[in-house]
Amino acid sequence: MDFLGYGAGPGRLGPVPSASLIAYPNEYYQSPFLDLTQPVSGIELVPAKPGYFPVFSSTKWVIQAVSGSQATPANVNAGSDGAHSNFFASQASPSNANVNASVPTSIIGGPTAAANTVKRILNAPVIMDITSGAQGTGLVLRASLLVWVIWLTASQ
Amino acid sequence: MQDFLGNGLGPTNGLVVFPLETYVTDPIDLTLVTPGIEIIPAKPGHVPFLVGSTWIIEKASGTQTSPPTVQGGTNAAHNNVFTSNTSPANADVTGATPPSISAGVGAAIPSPAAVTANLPVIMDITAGATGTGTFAVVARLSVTIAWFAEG
Repeated sequence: MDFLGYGAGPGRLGPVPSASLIAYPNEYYQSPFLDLTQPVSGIELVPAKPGYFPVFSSTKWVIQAVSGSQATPANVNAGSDGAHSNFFASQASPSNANVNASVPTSIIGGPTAAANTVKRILNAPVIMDITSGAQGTGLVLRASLLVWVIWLTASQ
Repeated sequence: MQDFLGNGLGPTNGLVVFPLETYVTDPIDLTLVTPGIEIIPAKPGHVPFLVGSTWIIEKASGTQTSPPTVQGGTNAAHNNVFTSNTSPANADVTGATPPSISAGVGAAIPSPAAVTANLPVIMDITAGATGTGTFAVVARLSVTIAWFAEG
């Protein structure tokens, strides 16, 4: 602590590790509105920030338009690795129940996070793929994905 | 309540001067007992509230059989921001492909917690992680906090 009794603040204070303020705040990103009935590859979900990687905090789908009935959800995955799976692994989302109950504009649960143990990659954007489109009866489904990330750093 | 335009009047409480913030430590050898790690600096007039926490696993080898025990706070006992708890989890260390992550220190706060403004949050590793094989674990701790004013 300094002579005022405050902490010395961000920075390296001496023989034991001390905290530094992350340069980037918690952030939300929103994808464009997507036709979730169509497979689409290479949607940039979170941009790269030099020296940092984003940690998944939460996701939500923003349902812009829905009609008909969804019988099978879209399948999505996202990541900064080659397989696009270290942000959220391949999964079906949004659910039939949530889509069929939506009264747009509505917000429903999004994909869930990848396993803690997967390798993170600094300086790389998070890319999302819709590997299979949602299916249903007379289904029209347009939504965007909202993601909340915390930026962290690691040694490279 | 609405104003004459039909809009809400908006926030009636004061804006907190400091936004939600994330701090991260330098890499720490979690196998060692280490007191006195400053994880959040003091902000005059404000008290930090722990919103979330994540370990960033920088190095892991061998098998962790017992996580380190950590605690943090602004008080003399260093336990009024998060009480003594064990993390990162054995599964996240033993299965890690660094850099990877693990759930951080618990947000469990003693209730009622006596808090004090103008003080840094100090963390202690009161027991180091133990394991088998060529066990080693080095990690950074990130903490995300909201600031609130002390009256």
